[in-house]
Amino acid sequence: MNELNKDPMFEIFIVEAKEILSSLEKVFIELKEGNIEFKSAVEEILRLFHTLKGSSAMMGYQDISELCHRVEDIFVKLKSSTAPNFNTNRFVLNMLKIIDFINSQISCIENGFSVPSCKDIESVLKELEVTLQNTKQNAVEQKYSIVMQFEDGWEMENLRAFLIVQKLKEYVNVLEYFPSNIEVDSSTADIIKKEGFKVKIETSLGDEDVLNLFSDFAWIKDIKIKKEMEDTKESYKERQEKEESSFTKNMQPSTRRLINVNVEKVDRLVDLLGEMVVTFSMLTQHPDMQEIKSEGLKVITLQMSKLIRDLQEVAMSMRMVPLSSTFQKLKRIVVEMSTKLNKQIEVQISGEETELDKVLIEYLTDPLIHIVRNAVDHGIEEKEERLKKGKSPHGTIFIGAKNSGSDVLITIEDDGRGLDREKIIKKALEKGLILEDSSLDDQLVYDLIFQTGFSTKEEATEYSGRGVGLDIVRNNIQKIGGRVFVDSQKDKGTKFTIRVPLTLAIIDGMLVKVDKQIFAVPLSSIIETFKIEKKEVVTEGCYQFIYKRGACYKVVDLKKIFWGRETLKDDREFYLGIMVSNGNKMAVLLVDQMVSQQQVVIKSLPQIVGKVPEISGCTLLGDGGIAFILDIDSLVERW
Amino acid sequence: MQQQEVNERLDEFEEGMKDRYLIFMLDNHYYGIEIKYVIEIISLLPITCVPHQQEYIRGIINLRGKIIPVIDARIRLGKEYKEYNERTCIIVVDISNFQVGVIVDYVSEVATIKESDLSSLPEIEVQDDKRFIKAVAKLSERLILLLDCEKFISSDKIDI
Repeated sequence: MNELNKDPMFEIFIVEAKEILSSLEKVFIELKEGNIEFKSAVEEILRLFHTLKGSSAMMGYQDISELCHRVEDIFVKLKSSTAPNFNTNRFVLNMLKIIDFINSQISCIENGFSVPSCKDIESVLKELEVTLQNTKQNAVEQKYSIVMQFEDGWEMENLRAFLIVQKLKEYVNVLEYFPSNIEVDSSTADIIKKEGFKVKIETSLGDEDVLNLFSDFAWIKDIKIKKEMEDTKESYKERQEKEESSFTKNMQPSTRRLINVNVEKVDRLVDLLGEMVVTFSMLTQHPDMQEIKSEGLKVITLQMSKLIRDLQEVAMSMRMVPLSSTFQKLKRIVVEMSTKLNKQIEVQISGEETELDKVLIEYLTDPLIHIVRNAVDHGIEEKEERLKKGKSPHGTIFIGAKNSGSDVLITIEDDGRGLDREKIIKKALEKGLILEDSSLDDQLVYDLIFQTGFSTKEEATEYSGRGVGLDIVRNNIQKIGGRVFVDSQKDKGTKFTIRVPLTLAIIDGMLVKVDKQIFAVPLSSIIETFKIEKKEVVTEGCYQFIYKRGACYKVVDLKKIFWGRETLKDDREFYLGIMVSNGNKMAVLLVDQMVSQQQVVIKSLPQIVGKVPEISGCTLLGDGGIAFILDIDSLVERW
Repeated sequence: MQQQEVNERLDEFEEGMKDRYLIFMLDNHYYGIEIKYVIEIISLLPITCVPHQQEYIRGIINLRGKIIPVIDARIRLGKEYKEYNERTCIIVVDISNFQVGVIVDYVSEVATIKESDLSSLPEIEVQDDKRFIKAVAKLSERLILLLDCEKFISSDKIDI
């Protein structure tokens, strides 16, 4: 079985199977929310299971194929209904179980483990089948006459026609077809080539479904389907013309607009482009190049520079993935949890098309899941409690994302009971996290929930309350250079805001010099730069401040932080200050001089080098030197 | 020994890295590192000092676009810092894909040291940090201290 792993067909099967299952999950959730029409949902579900059935059979996974077939059977019965008359919630939950099961089978196949037998899911299937036995069907049988033209060059048209008839028999009642002796008489192939293949069927399937029956046959060039209506003579002809025109379709398979690319290849591309930026920079800054005073050369250099920047942008964008699938996951968790906990919760999503670097999304998924679980478990109250408070019986969780400068802002908000300030303070006092209830700022109190071991829930439930969650959430988010805040109002709700950088690899930076070392300040954090006179700086103990436009700002002396020497002790007329912000607070950095502004490829400091809190990474300069990238967040908060 | 010659010798090491050591000097003491860890030997490059580091970590260098940390072998072994000169070299070693440069006074040769040449530590009086020394060898009247490369290179800090 392991040789198959190197087979590209195998990889394609795995990827496509996962995509199908993901799409199925989405459809079922939309179905439960009532966001799509039952009929079109059933059609989509059938189409997806059918495809999965075919490809798993082709790869030799009969188990999965048969499971899909049984599910198909269940849904075929639902085809002609416009609305289900059974409990959709339970139905959807069961279907999700089946999807999960198939997902786990695919995972086992992917990793070479033994695949669980479908017996494990038998009970769920049985339940679904029973549910449907009780549904009434509005089956209206209609007759269709169909004429097909095959593509040239496929040959053996009679046998191909035979295959089509075989398939049709599985789904509809085949009344007759012409030529009829296709399986024995090979001369019928010529008849088909000239006049096409004609079939008459009778079925309760809808129009679209009849058309879809032929979608698997790549050799069908053209197909005309006519519904034979027993109708009043006047409208018969009109009807016929309408049906004909709407059914004639070209049977070209639709090409997908996406391709799957190995993440490592993209990473390598980004790395190489990064080095190209540096090397080109070294070229243009080379003293010999500086000497050439040719206008033509300057123009070409500028063009080259722009090309490289554009290339970089494209490479970076390849790693970007929309948040939609992550949000779908979150939505599903709410759906499942709310059913189990017997709470009515609606999920509203916005901005799911917002893109983020794939790696960042991977780091974010668990923290987001945890926050959502908290919202469902602790946040949203049960129906009775909500009604007592005068709220609507169903709670709402808002999940949103939007771009904000060079960051992405993700918010998870609920309209539940909000954080309990007293409870938090009490717990914090117990754990010795705060010394006394010294009238703390609301914001500070809420921030306490991110501390290790903190949870005000008395017992742990299946989902949360063990108090190991939110501190890990904050850690994971900080690892990728992001921040998380929480805000809340009693009985109104709680809102978590997560801010993460768009991508880790490149930023616009301002290069500054402190002593002989060059630092890069992320441009996005710079508010303004200005000259400072010595007398403007106020010293209080070990802190220094400066007043600007009536407001007071902390002065962060980089020379002092890194080398323990005070910039102000240098005898100069003016000093250089850079006002920076981390989105929360502001401070003024003190540097010796400004060097230039340029795009900077972020490289991380080697592992063996101990972590320096104020430095988030380093970058190569055009002259081969190394500059440190400042971590504005830690500079503003710590110093 | 010329840097070129040593690099040539390194190329030969396909023929058998076992028992082959790169011999370098600190003051007039000889040390050896297993050749299998050594990637190349370069002369001193500009070192960018990283603030707040332990003394033996001198900083980082730009090796053809790759950023590599460099450590001072003398300080690491407990000796005093000595100013670098034109003979000072950096031995670039690679351990499980981590590359580190080791600053030494002088690179001597590549030698074959067999099991039979080894003697155990306690017999010899050694003032260096014993943690990093695996064994001692005697080669043509010289005493060579063989380093445990992985311990030597790895960080002393424990992850919190």
